[in-house]
Amino acid sequence: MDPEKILWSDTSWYAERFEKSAAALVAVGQTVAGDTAAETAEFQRLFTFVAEASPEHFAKLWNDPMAYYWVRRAVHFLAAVRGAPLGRIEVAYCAYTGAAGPLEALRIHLADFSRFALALAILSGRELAFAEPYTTALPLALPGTQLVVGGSGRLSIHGVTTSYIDATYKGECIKLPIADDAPSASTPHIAPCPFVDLEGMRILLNPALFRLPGIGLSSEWTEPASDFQKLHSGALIDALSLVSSFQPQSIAQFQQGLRSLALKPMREGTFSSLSSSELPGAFICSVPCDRYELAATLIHEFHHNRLFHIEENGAFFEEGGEDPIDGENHYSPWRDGPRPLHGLFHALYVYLPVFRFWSAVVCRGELAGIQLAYAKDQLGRIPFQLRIGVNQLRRHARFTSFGSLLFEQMAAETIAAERQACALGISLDLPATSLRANGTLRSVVGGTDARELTIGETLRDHLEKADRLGECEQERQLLDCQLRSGHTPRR
Amino acid sequence: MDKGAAQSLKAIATCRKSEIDRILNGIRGISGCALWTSTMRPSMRKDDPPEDEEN
Repeated sequence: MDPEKILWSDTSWYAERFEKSAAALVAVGQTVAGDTAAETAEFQRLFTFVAEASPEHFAKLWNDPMAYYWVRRAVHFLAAVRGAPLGRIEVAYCAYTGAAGPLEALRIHLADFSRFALALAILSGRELAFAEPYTTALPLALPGTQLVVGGSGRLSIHGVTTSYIDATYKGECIKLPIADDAPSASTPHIAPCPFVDLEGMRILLNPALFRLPGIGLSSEWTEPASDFQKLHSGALIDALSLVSSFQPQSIAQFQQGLRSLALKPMREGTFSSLSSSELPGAFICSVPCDRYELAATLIHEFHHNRLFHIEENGAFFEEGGEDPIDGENHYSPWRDGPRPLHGLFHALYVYLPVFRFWSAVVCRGELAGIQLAYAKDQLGRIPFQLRIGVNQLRRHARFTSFGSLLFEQMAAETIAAERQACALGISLDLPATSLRANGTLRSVVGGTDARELTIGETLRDHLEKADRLGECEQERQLLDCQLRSGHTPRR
Repeated sequence: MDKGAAQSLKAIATCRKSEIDRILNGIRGISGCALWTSTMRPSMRKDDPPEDEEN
């Protein structure tokens, strides 16, 4: 196995994950087929409807991030009713839906398969009538399509023809045109979500996609409106164009591995950007934002998604050690709170291409002023953060052979990043620059005299503040040495 | 998405039979059969928002 190819260029992971989630759907269908309960009869009928879809329509439907989310929950709930423990998301799902236990949650979840049958009927131009009304909260994203059933409250859907969805809303029968030229924002309607096109690739801007029971986002953000997506789509196109210009190998993979994203206001929610292992091909990022920084964020979040795809094929950490996902035990130079080993592994992975992006930007010589200062900040900061990430993982992780293969490649690439920064004349003595919540860039000031801080000083401050267990004493001493001498430390 | 991925569910049911059996065994709780990839547990990657202090 070539670790460099696995990490960066092999594109078979995307199809592999699609096929695995389709295989899981077959397993769900086969398991439920043995169930004679009347409550599963409708699912079995709709499963047959989906199984008869053409390859093109099924691929569109089942490549949607929501399909992976649905099928993993279905597998887990089927196992839970046979005695397996509920996972964290399944527990949250039960709380969100009010399900008393796994059996009731399974019933609710199988009923939600109607969303996929409905979307497939629209995709393929077929009529479909539900034996039981599909009652759902609005807005409802329809997987595999650009369509969202907009509005608020609950809607009971009876079926779909080639031209409208037949439903009941607030006790009244309504017909929702599939091609609605002038949808009302206040009542249920079907509308295409905004999108951006670049180089033959279409990315949907679809916040409604993230409205899924149990995923835990409802407490983290307020879903932004469709108008907000349109308002900032120009900035997104600019940022995508920058990725295309400075990292064409990534934009080529966006076409295969990215389907939808959502833009949110920078000040909204508890995070700036977010990816979930449960929604492959989708992420959230914040605007307004400096266009180059937004491009770096797209690269960053996309690579979280890529690593989730890679991870599907083998564990990175040996079992029996500390919990690599829930064990938030370690200092991370990227976050204020302690992080698990899995988080450090992901950060190490995503910041390597982010570093290469900033390196390409600076090498081309187009930036000036505060944007150039920020780019240089990133070129100084990221290699030192990567070094801490490598050291932390080497100190604490117990890798599988697969994980070790990938880690050692990333460790070697960290050395290359350090050398590249030196070759560009970057040092930790350069002024620190950061992104503000209004999306602009600024110099970082601090100290009693409110002077401009260097990159090294801000890294040192972060170690002082966040390395509560003193795990990175070696790195701290290195920085102290530099701060005393005024010279940039070398490894 | 990856255009090479276009396959019907019936075709995948045939060509991925061993994977389907593995998932079925996981659902049935057969010893040693992980429900999904063993450590492929749900994981959210989110980044802190920038600070808003003035210079």
